[in-house]
Amino acid sequence: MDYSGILDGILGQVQKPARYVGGEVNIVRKPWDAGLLRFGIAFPDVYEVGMSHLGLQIIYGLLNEREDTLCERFFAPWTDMEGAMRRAGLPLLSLESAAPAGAFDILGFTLQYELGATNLINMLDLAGLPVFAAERGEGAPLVCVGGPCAVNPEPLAEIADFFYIGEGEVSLGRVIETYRETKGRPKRDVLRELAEIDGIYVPRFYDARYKENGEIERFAPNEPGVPEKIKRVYAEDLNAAYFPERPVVPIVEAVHDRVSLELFRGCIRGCRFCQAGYIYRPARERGAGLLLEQARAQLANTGHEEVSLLSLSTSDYTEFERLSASLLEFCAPRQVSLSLPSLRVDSFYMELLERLQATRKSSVTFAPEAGSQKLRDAINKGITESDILNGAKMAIESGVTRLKLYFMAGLPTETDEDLEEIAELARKLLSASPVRGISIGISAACFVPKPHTPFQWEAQASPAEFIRKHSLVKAKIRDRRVKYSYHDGKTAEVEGALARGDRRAGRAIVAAWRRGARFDGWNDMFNYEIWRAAFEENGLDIGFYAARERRAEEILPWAHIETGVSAAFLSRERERAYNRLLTPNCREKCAGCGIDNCVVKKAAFSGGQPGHPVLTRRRV
Amino acid sequence: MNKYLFKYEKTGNARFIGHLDLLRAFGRAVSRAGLPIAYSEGFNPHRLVSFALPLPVGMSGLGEIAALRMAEPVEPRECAGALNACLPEGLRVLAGREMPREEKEPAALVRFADFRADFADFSVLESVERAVGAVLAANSLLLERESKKGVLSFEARQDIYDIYAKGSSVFARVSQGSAVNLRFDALIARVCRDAGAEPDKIKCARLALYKEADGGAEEIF
Ligand code: SF4
Repeated sequence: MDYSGILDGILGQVQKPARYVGGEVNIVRKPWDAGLLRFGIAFPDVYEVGMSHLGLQIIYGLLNEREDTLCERFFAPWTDMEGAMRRAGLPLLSLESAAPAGAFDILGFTLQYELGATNLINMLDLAGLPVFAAERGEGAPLVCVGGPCAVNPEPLAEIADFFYIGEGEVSLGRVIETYRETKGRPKRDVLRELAEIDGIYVPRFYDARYKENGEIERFAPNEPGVPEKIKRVYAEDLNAAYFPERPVVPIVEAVHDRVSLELFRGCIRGCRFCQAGYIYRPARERGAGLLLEQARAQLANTGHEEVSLLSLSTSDYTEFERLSASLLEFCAPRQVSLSLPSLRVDSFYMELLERLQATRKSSVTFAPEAGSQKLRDAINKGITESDILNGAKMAIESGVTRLKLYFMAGLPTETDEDLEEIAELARKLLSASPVRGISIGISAACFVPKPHTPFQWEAQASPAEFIRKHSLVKAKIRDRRVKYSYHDGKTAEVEGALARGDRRAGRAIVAAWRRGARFDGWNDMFNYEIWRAAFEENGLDIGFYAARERRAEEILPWAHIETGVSAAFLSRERERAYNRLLTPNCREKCAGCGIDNCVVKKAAFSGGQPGHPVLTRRRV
Repeated sequence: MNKYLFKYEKTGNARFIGHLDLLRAFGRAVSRAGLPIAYSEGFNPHRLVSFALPLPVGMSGLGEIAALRMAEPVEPRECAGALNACLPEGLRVLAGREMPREEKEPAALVRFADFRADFADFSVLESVERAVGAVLAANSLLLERESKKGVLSFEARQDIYDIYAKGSSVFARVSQGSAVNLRFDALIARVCRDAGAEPDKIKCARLALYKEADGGAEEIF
């Protein structure tokens, strides 16, 4: 059935209708009826957010390079469009062929943050598919969920048919081949075959049994032969990994509307609160020469105005000076600007800023994360107060007038004194400033313990506790030059409950969706009452998932997912946090995290220089 | 000066691209095509691409005009071909020409435009024709437009130079430009209301942009 007429008819009623029509530069359209495997790559947020995501472009390009596969994109319709679609009876359509999602073989969602789960469910519903996997029939597409949230798949275990744990480049090809080989056989058999692939988790082949107190008593396969533990897959060599040289150019301005160069995957640092620092280990670099080539190709093929360096800690890139110099040389005469996030402030950085003519050096961002040295040591954020003061001084001397500081409240071992030191640090920065007229913006997030980190067992502060903590800091700030803003503890509570939830928590997500939850990651859309009610309705306690400290012996809901980092290492790191011991970064000394055949350990990074602490994230 | 005008069409899915997104899409196509576009001065240099007049989102444009300033002389016809290989679907350059030094920016020139509204529902055509005739015969025509303060009505008759029905379409020439810009969709909404037709099912297109010349209208491109 051709839906384009109905689509056309409702586009006049919605904001930013170009989100829903496709037709962008570099899209791939393949014949629908040529017997190709139809893969729908789905991003559970609006177009502008999804199109900013490099991973989506990688998978799109990678799959469309295959002759046996067509891959088309789906994004979450904004609420106005959802309303119009439901009124018109229009199903979720792909941007390439305006084909209904239900007509695809596999729908692969990439879930970047926990609160995207309601959108994911909503997209299934808009596709006309039952939300629960058990209710989807033989003809329905297989629903796959990947992305960082898949490292704890359990909350979506009753919704997805299978999970992809790890990096798409590694096993997607085998997924496609296996699907093609088993096509036509009962869904259960197809899934059984898929379960053989590295990184694939098929939740229906596993059962959880719970104790009276709600903890997991036993989690085990119910199907002979499937792996007890599912190993995350990652690309060992980023230089050999697929890279999209012709990414689709967003037609509605995307949040990150530029060429993204992926310098690294993973991070050598091991900040104990940071999930990305553990689930993407080991840190792998892409060569500077290759990155330059990719920048050239992408710029030529997209016409973008900006190149951005993507990594968790750009300053740790071995050939950073060479790369930034050559990029600058290439970009400047072409009127292409360069943005350098996650950089430390040092003399090299300041020099670089000077050379980027197009800079308005108005603000610099530091991420000390914690106010006191004691707490910074506990989270393994290896920067000192003098690093921050010196960096700020240098920035101010070069003309910066506004400092932005990022902190987290609710970190393990945190005391009220630690929090008060946030205000103290701001005071010191102001009094150490060589010039007047400097303002400081402090932004405090709420710490949410995440799976597969040393803090995975920790209690999360309650919303009330977060309010107390934030007020405490606020009260200490008396200088009008300092502005304090903080995140909402209620959103953090739901995020925490979903992050560390078990299979039962999925019922609450579905209930929240039924009660109208959409775009929960958007501040003005999040509705706490809906979530409270959704948990309650299912006899679940939000605090059981968010606030509760887990016992060391407890079977964690994500224990069957192996990221490669051992639980023993995580618990050792937790101990070290309590003792405020710093763990050296991977380049200085391998901490023995458990990664098999670690490339960092084996080869070390070519330079082997001691790393610098990451001080800033800044857009130039 | 190295300024060039390009006539282009914006149809199909490209109808839904908003003005700023269109500017970006055009600029990127220029870069992909490798054309020597000139940039503005200042902290945030941007490509010197401009359009004669924004087109309402959802409406087709069959004779839209873009002005491009190049860093060096180019052959406009070759540029048009190169651009067409690089534009998103639904955008297509039809012709290009050099802009003489003394010619004003198209944005400053636009005074009138021709429009067409296509009616898919043939049963209403007769009443549409009557409504159109009534508009032409009237001395005054109050149209409505939504604003932040609610629905505002305004006198539009003097800005309608011609309006007639032909086949299943209504054609009109109305005031357009930075000074007076008559919303054609408001006019058609009124015709629909008078004729009992459903405005949602009507497709509108802007056909050509005109400047004032010798007391009459002359196509800019
Ligand atoms: S094995 Fe050692 S070097 Fe490799 S990621 Fe783990 S701690 Fe770092």
